[in-house]
Amino acid sequence: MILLAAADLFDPSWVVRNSGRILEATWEHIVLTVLSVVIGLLLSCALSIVALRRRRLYRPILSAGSVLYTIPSLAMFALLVPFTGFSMTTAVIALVTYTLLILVKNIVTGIDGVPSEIVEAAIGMGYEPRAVLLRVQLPLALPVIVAGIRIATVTVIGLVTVTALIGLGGLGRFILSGFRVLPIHPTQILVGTFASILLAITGDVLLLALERVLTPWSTRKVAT
Amino acid sequence: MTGTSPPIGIVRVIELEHVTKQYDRESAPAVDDLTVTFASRELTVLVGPSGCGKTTTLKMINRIIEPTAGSIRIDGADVLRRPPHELRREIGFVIQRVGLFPHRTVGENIATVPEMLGWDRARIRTRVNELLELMDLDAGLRDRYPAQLSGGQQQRVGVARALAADPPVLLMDEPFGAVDPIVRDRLQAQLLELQAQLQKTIVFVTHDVDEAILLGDRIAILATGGVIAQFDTPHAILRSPAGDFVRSFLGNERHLKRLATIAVRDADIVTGPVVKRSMTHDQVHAVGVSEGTDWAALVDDDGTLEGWVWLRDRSSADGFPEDAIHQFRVIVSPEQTLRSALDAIVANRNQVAAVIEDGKLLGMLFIENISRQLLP
Amino acid sequence: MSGLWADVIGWFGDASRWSVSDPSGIGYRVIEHLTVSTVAMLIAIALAIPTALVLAHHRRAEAIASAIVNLGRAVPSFGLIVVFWLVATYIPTVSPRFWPLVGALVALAIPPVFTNTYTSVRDVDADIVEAARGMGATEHAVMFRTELPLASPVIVAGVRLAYVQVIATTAIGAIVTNGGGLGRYIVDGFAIGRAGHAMVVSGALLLGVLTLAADRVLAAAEVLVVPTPLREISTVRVEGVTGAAG
Repeated sequence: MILLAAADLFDPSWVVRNSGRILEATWEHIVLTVLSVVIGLLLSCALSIVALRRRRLYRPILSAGSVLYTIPSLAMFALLVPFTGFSMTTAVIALVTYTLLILVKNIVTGIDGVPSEIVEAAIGMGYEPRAVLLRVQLPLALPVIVAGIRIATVTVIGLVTVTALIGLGGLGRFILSGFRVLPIHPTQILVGTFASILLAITGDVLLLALERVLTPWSTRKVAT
Repeated sequence: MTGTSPPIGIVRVIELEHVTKQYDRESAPAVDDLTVTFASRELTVLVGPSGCGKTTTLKMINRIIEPTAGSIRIDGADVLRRPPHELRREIGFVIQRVGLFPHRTVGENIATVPEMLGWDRARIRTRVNELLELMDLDAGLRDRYPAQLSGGQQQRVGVARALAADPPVLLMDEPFGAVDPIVRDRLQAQLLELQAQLQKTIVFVTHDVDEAILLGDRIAILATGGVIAQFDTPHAILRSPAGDFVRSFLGNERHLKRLATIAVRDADIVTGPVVKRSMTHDQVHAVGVSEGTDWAALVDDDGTLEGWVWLRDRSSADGFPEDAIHQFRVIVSPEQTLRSALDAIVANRNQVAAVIEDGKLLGMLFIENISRQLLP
Repeated sequence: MSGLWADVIGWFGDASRWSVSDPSGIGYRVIEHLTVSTVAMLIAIALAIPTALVLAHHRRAEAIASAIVNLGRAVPSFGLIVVFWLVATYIPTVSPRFWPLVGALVALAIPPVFTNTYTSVRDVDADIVEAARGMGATEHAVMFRTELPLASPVIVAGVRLAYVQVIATTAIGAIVTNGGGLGRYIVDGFAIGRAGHAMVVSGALLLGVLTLAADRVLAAAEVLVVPTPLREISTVRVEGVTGAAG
């Protein structure tokens, strides 16, 4: 930071003066991210249940998710704009499509990964199928599922910056405005970029902490 | 205790009638038209080579596998009539890899079925403690997670979990197959003790014929397709195997295995040459003559064994001096099997074992007596 | 809405659009797009694969290797492009249109390629490596004749994934430079407003098709490059980096 300030690239006073705007942008960034990941998660849960019940649908669902993931975010926003305009709706719809592949994959893989003898014991003891899923398979699949949520969240946080192009952007606003202004304002660019990275790392760490809280059994030492 | 055995009057007979299991992609049924009855309060073992359908049969009783045809009744009630999950809550189920829930503590694992049945917390807590004690598990393990337990402990928790709601029927699928031999011996002994106490109807699957002989009140030897080759007590099967399949399945040392089904107590123990400290010289001499031996066991007046002596070492003055008393090399208890007694005798290059209970000499077991047990 | 589709069809229908020589033509921009992406990819491969191979072979830098992909994911591609461009403006000799974008793309592509290479080489069955050494292979040969081929399914999967991301991000480069391949249509179209909707949608469709096509081509290449006996594996472990283990 000091080096950058020295190189006249970074102006701390700008940060101080605009802290309000920075916080607003951060909030917008968080809102977009959380909305997209939560909706993505709900959709993915539904899709996963379908995939788990009818195995033949798993590959097609993954392929569809893969296609959606492959389409560049810019193209996705562009395709939606004529229909849903430069709005949060456009952004969220596009962002959600990027979460589907990783979330469905991890939910299904996680649940499949629960050892078969545990599932057999659960059934043998008298849990109905739904209880087996919710009370046994889901808790044990959490590490893998949360890993998927972490990846989805970090990815989305990065993609939110691109929504600057359609009038949103969260912290990406600063990247765009820092660049579009004349003369170029490096401070904004750097703030936007590094704040976004920081947000991503924070989100990742928070989710990791959440996972630890939700899985107390995995933190105990294992008997040798 | 909240229920040690089913109230007298409740019979838990398991009846399979013309039960068949046919898988779609297979040409032959896994279980073909099986009709058999497992008696109430008995430990029935299903044993046979891999693929004979023993596990399939077991799992059809609690509908983990659904029969293709035929009927299964527990106590007269058709198991297919009830919702499977309700049925299973009344049947204890123990599998080889245990399947303890890693995300729950030992106590919570054991409490699984009681919780499903809506027991109140206090009752559950009491029951969990009872079971921990019953299975010889330290009470402190209750709040540990399964990953922190050894293999043998996990297996015992698995059994405790199956017994939690005190089901009258217990299904066990090769439960001791994945632990080491020493642990397995303990678990088998523990199961026998439990069954003596709890008297449940147990169906036990294993591929190990020795385990079957040890545990079963009756054994069903199955061939491919769930076909019963022989269904009888271990002793009867060993004495008269029905056909070549059974004979070869029992293995080569069939007669030794038979010995394993007879306890020393039930065998032909003779009194043997015994002298008491208080006997006179003439009495001692008389024992030697009637038994035809030049030695005898020496007991004191209340029957406690002191050792054995050469009869000639009796001096007229002090009876038998201390240095004349030798110890029996082989001592067995009445609860031991004849097989282990024979093993001890042979191992010590001897010909006789002293049968001792609480220090008292009950009698003697000679090698000839043992082989005489095998006569039909 | 029908008006929009009519516009789009009309837009594509214009033959002159497809010119390869005219800088505003589809042909030209596709070539530009692929050139930038491919150059960046090749540089990234040249930097990442050998490094990862050597490090994994010697079992070094384990912590960094696994952290690098997570860190890479946290960096916003948009920010990366602008920052590189920014830095480039301070270096007079560099052409602002091409190299900063390529630089940013290389930085973007390295983490997934590196991590996939690293983990797959590291996870090569130790028994096989030991057998190779036991037969007298040099460390060099072990790396290139044993570890690399065995790790190739996952490595190629990583390259495929990275390439798709690079193509997608190249489009974003249109914001910053005069280039950006097919992204140019989208960015310019946005700038015009309502009238530009046709261009925006058309550009988006082209971009989508290009990316999917590139993905398919690489999928086919994946099958060809991977040694025959290992081909089963590659279909299972496609998304190495975005894989379940996180």
